[in-house]
Amino acid sequence: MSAIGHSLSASQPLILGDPGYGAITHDVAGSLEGRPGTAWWAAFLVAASALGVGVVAIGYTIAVGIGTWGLNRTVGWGFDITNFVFWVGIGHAGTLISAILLLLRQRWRTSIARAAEAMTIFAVMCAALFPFIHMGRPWLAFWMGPYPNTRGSLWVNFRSPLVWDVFAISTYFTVSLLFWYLGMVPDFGTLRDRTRGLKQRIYGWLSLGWDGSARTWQRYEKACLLMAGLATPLVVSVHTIVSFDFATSVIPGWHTTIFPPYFVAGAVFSGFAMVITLLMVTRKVMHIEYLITDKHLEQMAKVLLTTGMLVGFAYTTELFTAWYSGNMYERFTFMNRAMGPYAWAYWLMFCCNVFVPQVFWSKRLRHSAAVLFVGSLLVNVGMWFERFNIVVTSLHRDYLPSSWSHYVPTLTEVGILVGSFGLFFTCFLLFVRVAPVVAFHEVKHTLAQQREEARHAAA
Amino acid sequence: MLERLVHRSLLAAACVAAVGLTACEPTNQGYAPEQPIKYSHAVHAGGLKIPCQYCHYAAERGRYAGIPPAGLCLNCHRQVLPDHPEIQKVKAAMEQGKPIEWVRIHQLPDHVYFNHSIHVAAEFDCQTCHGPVESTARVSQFAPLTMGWCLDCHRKGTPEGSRLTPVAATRANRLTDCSVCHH
Amino acid sequence: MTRERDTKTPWMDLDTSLAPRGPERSDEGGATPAFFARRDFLKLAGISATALAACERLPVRHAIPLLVPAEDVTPGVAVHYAGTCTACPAACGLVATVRDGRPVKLEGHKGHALSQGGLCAVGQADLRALYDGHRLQRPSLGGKDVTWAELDAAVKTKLDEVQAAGKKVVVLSSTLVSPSARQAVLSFLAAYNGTLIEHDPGPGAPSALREAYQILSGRALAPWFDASKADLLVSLGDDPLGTGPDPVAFTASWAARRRAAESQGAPRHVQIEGSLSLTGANADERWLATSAERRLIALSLLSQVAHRSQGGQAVADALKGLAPLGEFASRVEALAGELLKHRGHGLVVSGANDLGEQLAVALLNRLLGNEGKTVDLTRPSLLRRGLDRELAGLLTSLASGDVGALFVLGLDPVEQGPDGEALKAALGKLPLAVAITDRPTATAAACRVVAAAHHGLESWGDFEPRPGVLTLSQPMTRPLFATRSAFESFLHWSGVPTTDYRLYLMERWRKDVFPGAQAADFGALWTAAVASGSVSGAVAVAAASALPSGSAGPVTEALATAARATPPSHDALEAELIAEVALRDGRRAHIPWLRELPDPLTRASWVPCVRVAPKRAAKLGVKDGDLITVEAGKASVTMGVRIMPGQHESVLAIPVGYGRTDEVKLAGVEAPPSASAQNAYRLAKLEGGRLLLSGLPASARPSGGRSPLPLMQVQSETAGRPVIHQVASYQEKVHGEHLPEGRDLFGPKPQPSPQWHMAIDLDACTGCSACVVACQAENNIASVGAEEMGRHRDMHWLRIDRYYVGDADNPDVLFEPMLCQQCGHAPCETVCPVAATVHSTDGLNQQVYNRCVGTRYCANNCPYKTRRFNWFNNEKKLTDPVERLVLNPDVVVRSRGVMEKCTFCVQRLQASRIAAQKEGRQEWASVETACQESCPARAISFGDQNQAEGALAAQRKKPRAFQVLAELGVEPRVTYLARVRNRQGATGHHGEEA
Repeated sequence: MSAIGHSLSASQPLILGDPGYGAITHDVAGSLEGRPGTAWWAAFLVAASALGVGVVAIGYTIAVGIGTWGLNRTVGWGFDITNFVFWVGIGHAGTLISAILLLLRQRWRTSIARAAEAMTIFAVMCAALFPFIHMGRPWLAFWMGPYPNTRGSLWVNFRSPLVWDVFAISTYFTVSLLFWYLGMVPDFGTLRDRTRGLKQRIYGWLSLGWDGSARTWQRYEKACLLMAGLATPLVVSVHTIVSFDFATSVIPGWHTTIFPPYFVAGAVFSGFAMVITLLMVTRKVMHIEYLITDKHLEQMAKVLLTTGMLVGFAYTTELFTAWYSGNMYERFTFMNRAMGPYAWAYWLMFCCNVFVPQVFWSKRLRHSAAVLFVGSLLVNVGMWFERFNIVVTSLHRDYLPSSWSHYVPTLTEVGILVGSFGLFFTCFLLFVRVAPVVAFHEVKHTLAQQREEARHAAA
Repeated sequence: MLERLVHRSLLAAACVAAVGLTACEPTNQGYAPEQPIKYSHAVHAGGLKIPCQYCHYAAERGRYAGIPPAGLCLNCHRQVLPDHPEIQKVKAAMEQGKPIEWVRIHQLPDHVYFNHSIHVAAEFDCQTCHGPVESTARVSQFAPLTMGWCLDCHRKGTPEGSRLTPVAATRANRLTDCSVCHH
Repeated sequence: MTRERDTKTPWMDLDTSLAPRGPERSDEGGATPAFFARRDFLKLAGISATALAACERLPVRHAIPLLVPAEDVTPGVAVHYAGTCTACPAACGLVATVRDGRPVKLEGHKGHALSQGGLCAVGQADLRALYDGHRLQRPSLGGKDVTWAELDAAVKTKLDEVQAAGKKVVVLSSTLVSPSARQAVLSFLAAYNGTLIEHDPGPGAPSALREAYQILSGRALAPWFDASKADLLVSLGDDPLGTGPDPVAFTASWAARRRAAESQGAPRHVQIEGSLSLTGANADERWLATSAERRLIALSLLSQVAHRSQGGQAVADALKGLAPLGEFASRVEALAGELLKHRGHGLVVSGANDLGEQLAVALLNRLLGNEGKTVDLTRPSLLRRGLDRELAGLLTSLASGDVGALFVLGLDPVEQGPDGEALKAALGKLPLAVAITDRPTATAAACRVVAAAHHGLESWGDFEPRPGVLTLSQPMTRPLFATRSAFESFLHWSGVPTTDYRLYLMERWRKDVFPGAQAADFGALWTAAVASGSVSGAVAVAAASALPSGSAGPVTEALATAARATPPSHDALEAELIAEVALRDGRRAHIPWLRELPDPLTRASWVPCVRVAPKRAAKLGVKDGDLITVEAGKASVTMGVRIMPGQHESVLAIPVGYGRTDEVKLAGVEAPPSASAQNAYRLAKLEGGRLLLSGLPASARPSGGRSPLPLMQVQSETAGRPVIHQVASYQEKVHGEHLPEGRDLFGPKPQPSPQWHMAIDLDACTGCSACVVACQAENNIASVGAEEMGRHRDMHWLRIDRYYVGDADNPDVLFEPMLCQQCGHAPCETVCPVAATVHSTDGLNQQVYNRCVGTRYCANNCPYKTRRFNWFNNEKKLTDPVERLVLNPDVVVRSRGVMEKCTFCVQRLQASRIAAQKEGRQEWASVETACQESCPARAISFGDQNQAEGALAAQRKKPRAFQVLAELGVEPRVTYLARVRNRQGATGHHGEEA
């Protein structure tokens, strides 16, 4: 991808025109100081009510029991784990953009990194919700953690992928959170100086006494670099371990060695799709198209194309291995996915994830806002159904046909899904109100470099 | 300022963790409730040297040690100290035909299966788990009765020199299998 | 519907679109509000409470000892008492496990001469009937509760009036298998010169059988059939294995013969029936024939056999002019030959309530010399004595009003008879109508006097299922309510000196059973009898003398009339009332355990369904679950359709026992809406002094709407998976998947004895489902109700999978009991995050309920899908304290959100370990699981797989042995033995060809 980055910075600027440092600060920080517009309020109302639905649904589940879901003796996981994997996947792009692209010196990342990271944090929050509520006795969730106890001591089962999940996700969340916060410290400094009264006090706290001195900057840069180095392996590890939930089982359709890379590719895929969706809205609402330019979106469209094809490759490989293995159970599972009662879900997934991204071969379509927006949405739908296929179609017809069954979600489960989106967007909307959506200190840095290059070009 | 904040937060986290881990492990150790009748083990078991299983006769037969029926008390007390106020209570209970409601001290959770008889057969003294009952006027819970406490012995397996046949000696003669107590 | 099938691949159903679908299965509105109403925010509070409780001291509990030390009751120590099962007249021997004065489990009595240790599903569930919160609790008079004294006074005065009015006194009862009870009733009737009419509703051992022998040998008796000596069994529409008068005893003898196949040669079983029965499912060969065709086949068999046996000429002549056999001709000839080949080693039985057919069958057995070998007339069966014509007589005299007093004992004729409404009206008009029952039945509602009776486990009794077999039953608990033994009531009313039934019983035994015994040694004999539950040593058999053979005249006459009967028309639709394994005649239809038990053939639970042949279903244009109305005569029933392979195209099989008015509220479990439109007894016809349950001319039409069938198996194809096998001979090897040994990465694990292992012989297993209920009783498994079953949330730890092989019109049926396989490499164990399921030293896959947090990961990863999750707080449904008494105190009751599964009855294993250690024994593997103990066919063997000798080792060595999904390398600890289908013909010791 670094190739993309260089060609880009050489060809045309990442920041359109030269708004000047002041303008950038004004546009990004200013939006935090004014009152929220009607658009924001409308969005917030929708998101919050969705969240409300989720709260009710979850309360009902915990009060009455998992029986309120559509699961049965054969299909033990349905929407719950589907949503879990889906949200973990979304939570990938942020750290990927901010950490890996930082290490790869991709300057085009600066404008979008902040929002992407925020998205990561909230997505992982949504994801972490599901392992908790899918338990039959969630009030005993703390047994999942190894802690000294009077039971002799009784530890967790370190062989269980669910335990690995607990570690992987909590680590990933912590590191992402710190990285995100660290990135914002200088901007908080700026905000502290621009605001008065209570706001100033709060930003003051958050900026940890930031003084723009060279020494601070130098330490800050080093810290960021270290964090990036720390975060990078996690990006890969989290979804690898999530994929182990399935890969280490004996169920045909789950027991597959291809899962780790396949899941990571899928995660990046869905993550970038979500970033596109969000940023296209944000930049419109905040009128910062000159910061988050079509170039940025185009870059991400290219990533979509690439990862989309990776995912498609994974799908076909799965089919091939199933056939080539000669294992009747394996073969049947994939026949069943493509032709069984859930075939519609399989083909929906296939179209959204493999065919739709192909439109991004065309430069014109990469630049069309409408195509990009719809495309990114469809990819997200497709990726959700990918997880649904993996979880449900493998379970509902496994080894003994006498036990085969069917799964249809109940309203409660749908409510919880809606609620998770509610949580996600509520958090994001609050975020754009209290913290700078664009890391303007980085953008200014990029602008400076741009001016340099311009001068060289002139001379 | 940064350091101070970090310190504070770390400290707070540590406290929460500590409290969480220790406080949420219940034991009733030392629980010594008031009983409806002021019965003294010190007098009977200690002074008169009445063997425990004279009254708790079920202990060697089965799961529960059992609390002696009022009738059993009166076997002696029809003659001995018949007018003692506490004995009067027992008599009253017999006459009204309503049993005495002792307050239970040693409570295991419902999901634990404990069998007295095998431990009696293993020639454990009652005191091992119930403490020096013969010297206490008012009985209290001596042992913590936590799973860890049970395992302390079970890890050792069938006691050496007891008349119990050790069942196939692996993993502490399989006495640490979950289903030994949980089924 | 019907598709071409190969003869190898097993399949399961016809309709591929059966998977749960549509609102009734999956949608919200369906069930959850019912729960929500009860649980909503209280539960929330509950949760926070639980969370807090974790950090608090345990609540104060009281320990309340007995006032006076009770003899032979040690708190927490189980005592076993021998007795006799009273769930049905079969009177199988049982042993009750009694804890703290309450029976908590019923087992078969190994010493019993007939049942030989088995106990059927209904018998197992009788415990639940004892603790049924809806039992009658006290006597009542015209709806008002009264004391027994008041009731007795009222009855006596009425009786005197009736006698004065010169009207009849009648006792209508199900067959009285108890000699003392019979004597008590008869002596009561003698006092008022009344009559006893015995009648048993439902199919099995019909009246015609006894009438045939009345003609044939002068006495209306039902012979005792001994399948253990039968190399060739031919059954015409009879279901002795599933729903006959004594399924346990017959299964025991049937299975005994099959288990002996290796030594005595392969037996053969031919079933000729219109509707797939459990017996048919276990046959080596099945013919489909309507009732009329069956009669014709029986007669033709007789004429062919008569021709070729001496003394059969008269019979042969009588059968001249028999209608042509059509398609059956060649097969009948072959079968006749086979029967002749196995003279004296064959057995022919029929379930038809048709004199001609029964006569033919009886004569077949006589001419083939089976009498005295497989057919015992000297010690016949005393389980069914009623004659339909007597019942008919009663009904007419009730209508005409010559009956003054009617005592209905244990029956519910209003709902278990053809013309309930009329009877109800008649009962209302009677001067004295007494219902003696333990349930608020419709008959009880119609009778003014209701004498609330003991449950069998609360009362004394003796039983004589056949001459020479005499058993006792003692009260297993003190009466729970103010009820009274049914026969004690009769003693009170007949005004004999001893009104205490126990004393009466002892008195009779002193006189009849131990005549001439001195008082002292009678005491000893009596105590011994009570302790053992039966009389040791042979009892003097009355009427052991050879029977007078009836004059030939009426025999040939009856045969001739039968022969002249209208030849069968092929496409006329006929209704056949069948009994289901779980419900039988419906006596116990209110027991959740039995209602929830999936039928071994239809695999449907709770909801009744009409069984329709695939072709017929296509003609009617109905699918599984579509409502269909069947009309026979004036009456009609409406039920959901179940398309059944192996069903005759023109036969509609309708289960009896459903649609009772008193089943609406079933012990805290939602019963399906069950209108009397589902009461199949309505279709029965009383015609020519015979109660017809089959061959009823009927018409059927889809009545629109659906009744969702809770089907436990919804898949049609097995996708050619090697999960079950059937072989052609006992020597044939099963070519299942196997894995090489020693592929264990960390080397072989230590295998200290005992290493538990179970072997299940599918050749002996009849699918009778006794084990399923036994498991439920032993392990406190919840009943969840029709809706939850429909959602595939069945809780049974042990289920019986049913497979078909071959052509959809008449396939072979295979049963495969499926339970946790206790895998050596258990997939469930590695995935549990909290180590709630781990392996034990003796090779068990332990499940620790209190550690489980309910991620359901283990169940997902179980290849056998034998793990069961508590979706709701099922246990909370047992609200009635009486009903909670049924729980086994040695097994934890699982709460909501917890996974559970079969543990090989680990509580029993641990108990046996403790016992062994205390007694200083090293060996502690001689223990039986609940399923194994209940099995009438002794198909299950269990023990230590390290033992080179013994039943288990022998089974595992057989060539038929295979393991399910062994190729996964999970090392299951359950071995199956493939079912044998003997197509060649029996290879027993051959009788000489005549």
